[in-house]
Amino acid sequence: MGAFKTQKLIFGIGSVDIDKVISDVTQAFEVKGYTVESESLANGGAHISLTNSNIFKMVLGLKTALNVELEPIHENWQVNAEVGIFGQQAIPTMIMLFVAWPVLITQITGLIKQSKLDDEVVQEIENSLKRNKAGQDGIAAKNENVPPAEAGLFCSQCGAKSDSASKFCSQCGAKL
Amino acid sequence: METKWFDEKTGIFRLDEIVAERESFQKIMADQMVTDQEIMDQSALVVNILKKLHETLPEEHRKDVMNLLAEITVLYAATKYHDIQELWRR
Repeated sequence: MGAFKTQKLIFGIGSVDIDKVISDVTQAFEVKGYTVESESLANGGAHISLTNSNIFKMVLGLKTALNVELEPIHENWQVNAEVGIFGQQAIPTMIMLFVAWPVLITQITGLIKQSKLDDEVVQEIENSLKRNKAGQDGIAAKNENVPPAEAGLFCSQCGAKSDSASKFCSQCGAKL
Repeated sequence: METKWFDEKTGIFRLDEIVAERESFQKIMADQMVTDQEIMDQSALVVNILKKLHETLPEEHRKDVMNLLAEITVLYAATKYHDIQELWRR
């Protein structure tokens, strides 16, 4: 449900070793008592699911969780975090049709925002993406054919790259 | 025994736990197949409860119950419509 999503577009990363990002995030949050499940995706991104018994209640027998999706978009990475079901990318139909599900999502999202878990996870992911990007300290990316990010300016509105001398975005016209 | 509406630790609404314990829910979901008759029986059960509340509750409480039913339905409809909007937007 888009209404309850925490989103961040991280600019100028390029290709990364996604398994290392998954490992960093998993370790960082397991140490804090979260149960973490993850998988790398065919698009080069990843899906990470975090849960514990403090914030996340069971709903109709299923554990709720903070589900995070990382998606590569050209040189950038889109990170989306929202309440879902632990270990599942999509919310099961049974839960979606449950009349009180929006009430539960609102409440669980409120607890997450209060504890700033979503911000913490997004920050950890951003730090890990920067540490594990291709060409960083000799770390090779999974996809060796993608060149490392070239110098330039990235538009804060649409994420497109422009020359470092540009004052305005070549795609959307926003001021750089 | 008093039914707790909210989880004591998190304050989260417990409707799903209450529903999961209902005989009607367990009976319908037992064979993972919902029949037309089960829908009709459940609808009749809901109408009977509404009629009983309408007959026995004072006017102020009747208004509260109707407010709750109406607003939860508005929320549910808005959520479903929002999901459809998101699909079209993609």
